[in-house]
Amino acid sequence: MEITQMAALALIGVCLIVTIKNHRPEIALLLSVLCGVIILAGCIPQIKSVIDGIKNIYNMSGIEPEYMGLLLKVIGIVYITEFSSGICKDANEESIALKVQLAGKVTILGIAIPLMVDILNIISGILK
Amino acid sequence: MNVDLIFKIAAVGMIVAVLNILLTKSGREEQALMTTIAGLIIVLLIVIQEVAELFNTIKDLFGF
Repeated sequence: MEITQMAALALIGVCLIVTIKNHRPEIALLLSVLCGVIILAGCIPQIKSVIDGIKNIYNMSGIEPEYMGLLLKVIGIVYITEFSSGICKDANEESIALKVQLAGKVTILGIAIPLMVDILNIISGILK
Repeated sequence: MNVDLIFKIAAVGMIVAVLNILLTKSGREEQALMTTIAGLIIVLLIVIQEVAELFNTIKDLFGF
């Protein structure tokens, strides 16, 4: 799905959302969620090729592949968290959007902690 | 992805809005509320399936 299709789709979606907004705001919100889903799903193939490219570059560097997995997981978490917190902001629910972002940060921290432990072990090994 | 889904959902939204106004004008408020809730449930089901499909592809892609 090229960028032109996605841009046109967003415009059409926004027009439909505005028409329904003052009559049925809840269905307008669900329509905006659907537009977001379709546009994100449209750019999944590009993301796949970008990830394969990053993996090739990463394998050339020779660092352990597990750190690569952590990096991709963090990016995926940010991807999903941004998606849902943006929609909560659309519905003027700032507090719920902040809670979703907090949950995303906590999840990322949970993933990053073992990495920090590894680094500290390496550093303490060097200093001894 | 199925782009025509957006138009289907918009059509459901408009039909429910028109039905709602018709029913309230003819004095049947409770039926108006029921059609609104029915329309909302239909749209919710469709959107939830699409969101679940997107989240699953993201999970596979990023190796969750």
